[in-house]
Amino acid sequence: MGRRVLRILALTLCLAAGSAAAQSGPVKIGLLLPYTGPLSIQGIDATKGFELYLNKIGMKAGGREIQILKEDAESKPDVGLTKIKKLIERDRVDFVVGPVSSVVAIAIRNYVHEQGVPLIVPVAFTRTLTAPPLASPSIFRVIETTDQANYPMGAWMIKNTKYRKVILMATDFVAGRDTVLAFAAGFKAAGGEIVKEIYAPLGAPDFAPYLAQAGDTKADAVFAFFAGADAIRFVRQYKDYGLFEKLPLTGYNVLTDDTILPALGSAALGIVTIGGWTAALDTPDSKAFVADYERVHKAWPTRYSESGYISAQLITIALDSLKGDLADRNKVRDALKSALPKVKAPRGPVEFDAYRQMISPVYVTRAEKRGERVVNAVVERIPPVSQEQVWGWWKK
Amino acid sequence: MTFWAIQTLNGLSFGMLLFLLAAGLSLIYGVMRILNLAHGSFYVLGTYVALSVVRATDSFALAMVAGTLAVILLGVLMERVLLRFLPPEELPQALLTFGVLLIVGDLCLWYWGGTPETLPKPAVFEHSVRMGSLVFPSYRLFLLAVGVLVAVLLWALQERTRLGAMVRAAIDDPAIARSTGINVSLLSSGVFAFGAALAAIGGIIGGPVLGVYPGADFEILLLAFVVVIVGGLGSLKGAFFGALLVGLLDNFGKALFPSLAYFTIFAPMAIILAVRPTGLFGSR
Repeated sequence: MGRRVLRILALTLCLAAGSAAAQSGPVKIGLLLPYTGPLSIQGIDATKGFELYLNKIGMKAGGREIQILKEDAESKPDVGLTKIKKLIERDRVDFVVGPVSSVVAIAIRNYVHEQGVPLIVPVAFTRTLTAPPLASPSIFRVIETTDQANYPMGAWMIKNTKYRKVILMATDFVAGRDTVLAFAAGFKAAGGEIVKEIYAPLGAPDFAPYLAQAGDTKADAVFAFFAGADAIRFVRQYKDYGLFEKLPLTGYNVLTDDTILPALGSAALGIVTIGGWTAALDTPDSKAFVADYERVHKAWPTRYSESGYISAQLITIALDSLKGDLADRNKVRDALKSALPKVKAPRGPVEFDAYRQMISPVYVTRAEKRGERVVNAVVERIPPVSQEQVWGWWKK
Repeated sequence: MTFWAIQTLNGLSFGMLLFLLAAGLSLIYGVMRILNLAHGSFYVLGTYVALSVVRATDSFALAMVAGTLAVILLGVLMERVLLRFLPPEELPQALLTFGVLLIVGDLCLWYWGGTPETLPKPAVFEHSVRMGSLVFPSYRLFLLAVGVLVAVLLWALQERTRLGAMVRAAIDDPAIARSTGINVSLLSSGVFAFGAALAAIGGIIGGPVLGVYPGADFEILLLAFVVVIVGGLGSLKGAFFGALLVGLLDNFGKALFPSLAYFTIFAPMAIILAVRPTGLFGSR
């Protein structure tokens, strides 16, 4: 009996020694992002922004080396869950950054909550992830929720345009529906009317059947959510079918992401969107970030690059304040929480609310030609709105 | 009114793309009795090669030639090196061609990456055609025209030329065809390469509309199968009308009952199979 206790004791000591050794090794950060499939553009750009900042500070923070491990979440919930288990249980990462897909975010939420490994969410913006009951002390989101950008857009549209009857068009998944419905709530509250809702599957090869439905409806404008490769096909075909002259196109910023603007070219001109950031934003922090990024990647950053960049700053500022000591999870969480106001975010001043959801300004933009380049020019800056101010339409 | 006109044109132009894919699949099955699952690979490989060429040279015509040639090469290699030595049984053939499908898919992912791509349209087709209140992209009319042209050419080739007669003979009875002096082996290679080329052409001219992405090979293969099953395996006429039917069903299904997208294709397929197990124009 005594020998058995001894053995267990010895084993425990070994384990303790192991974890102490891990403390002095590199800090491991797992990136759980899509590198293939319809949302791969977002995953790749978030990674580029993330690595840009880490390379800038020499891949070191809090006196420790930083090691990055990438896993392809493919925008599929089952794959995302398998990959995050691999990152946490086999690679023993200290932080996870991801995902892009809101469906994946919901799928891994319980696991993250139970494991307690901090998850920094750079893109997945579904409203429920940071609202009770899903909000978790281990989940930190550094992008605006679907509500924070799109609800105010409804009121903005009533105030600044003549559009009163609007058609909603979106990808048929949680982020798409959340986005257009948040806009619809804000729009209706301000006196507008939604005349039709059209949803197409993620990765729909051809938008023609959906566009013909919109063209057949009497309305003033379309408000749309399509992202990545879908957005390229959607916007091009929208113009090809001559819908733009009849129904001006507006939407969430994903529709005219800076990364797909070169592919869209003149097809993007005139599209009005709302979102957290644009590469054309004329502030010193933003301009410095764009210049750095362009020098390294020979292309403009997107809002995903920007939130990847914020994620990297958030983690390294927390590491510095902890002096690299990640033994106490509660201290790590507190450090992350208080790190955000110190982040130099290209979008402007940012902070977390009580649910670790970022509060930041959002921008209404219009795609315009500047020289040879099509950019999302800022039309109006909308001051910071917290998720609690705009979730009343669905949260009882 | 415009809704129905546009949807019909959409369905027809999509149907023409499906025809190009299904015609090759059907032809290969007709002559060689091989259900070629790697047909989806021909589609994506041709489109990816064309994408690289169009980016390097800005010429859609050149991209078309290069993409098609690359796929013909793959087709000939497959036929000469792999399929020739297989016993004429369905299971080994299915496994082998499926293996090729997976390998080509992964090689494309490795080389061209996972981001979905769209081929740029030839500049001539950038504008849309206007007829009254009807606005329709000229490129889709071009698709329609190419499909009809290929169908007429194929029909003429098969029905009006000596080569076509040889192919028909090989389809009907390979043993007798061989005994009359037709080189069925060479003919098989030719037909396999030709079928592969049709798939590549379909992928490339469909590239500006449908794009190419990891997994496109499976999706396209599935649709091409539905077309040949509906139309009848081995029949050119079947591939043509099957493609039109599936193209129209797919478009109207998505427009009228968006939540039933796949059902509107597969339910009619099941009904046709129940009534005519050989498909609309299949002989056996």
